Amino acid sequence: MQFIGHLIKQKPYEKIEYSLHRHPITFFPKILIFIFMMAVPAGVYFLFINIFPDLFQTEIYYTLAVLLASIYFLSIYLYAYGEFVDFYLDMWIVTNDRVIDIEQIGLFSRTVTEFDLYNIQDLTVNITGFFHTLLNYGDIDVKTASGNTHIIFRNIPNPNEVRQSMIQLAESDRQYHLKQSR
Amino acid sequence: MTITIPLYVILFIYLAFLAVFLIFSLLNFYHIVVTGSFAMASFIMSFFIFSLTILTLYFTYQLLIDVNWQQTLLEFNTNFFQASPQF
Repeated sequence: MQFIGHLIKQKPYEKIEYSLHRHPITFFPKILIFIFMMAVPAGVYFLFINIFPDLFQTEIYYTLAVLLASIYFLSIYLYAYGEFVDFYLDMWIVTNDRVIDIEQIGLFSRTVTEFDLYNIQDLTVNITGFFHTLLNYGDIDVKTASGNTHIIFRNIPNPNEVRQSMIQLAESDRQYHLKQSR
Repeated sequence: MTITIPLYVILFIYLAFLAVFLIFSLLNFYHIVVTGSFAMASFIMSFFIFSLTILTLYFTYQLLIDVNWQQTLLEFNTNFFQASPQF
């Protein structure tokens, strides 16, 4: 939480209530792709062995094959790591004062949106799908009074609990600002 | 005149790729650390990728340890372009 506080430039009175990431199950398709891509060189090797049995007896072709396989595997690792960073660095932080949406797009692009809690007008939870319902994860659509700022918490665990908590936090923050203005 | 390209040239290309790989891996790790996301999940993933990388490099080294890198990969004979056709 200490690092997150530094990331969002946490104010002295501010308390981080939630630091949310997407549900881990949403990364599962990428894991399947990774496993499939790891198995491809084995298939290619057996194909070549059957079609050209003496191909890898030549040292030059053998060396080229080993280096190409090594480059391929390292590229897969880099792809997997990049996809994980893209998945994990999407986060939504709810404090007792603000809502912050940090969206990592690729490796060299990040979008940060924030607004004050008392500006929240509408919170809509959307849980659609078999796995979403079974594992209780979904989207929270957060709209403000102005309508210009719009944050969607995507595929977060326990969205109804988070929504309920945010309603209470928004109401507390509204009361606090009302008292301050008097 | 004969121009020969030795096998170790592809090793330089491989090393150049390794340098690019290292830069992007470090960039990924840097993003995780700087955004305060270095928790258990990101630690496990970073360790997993690092271990796989070390294993891959080790097996690559082991498989190529007996290769004669001085042998010729490609040979160009420039006389091919100079010789006049015989009919």
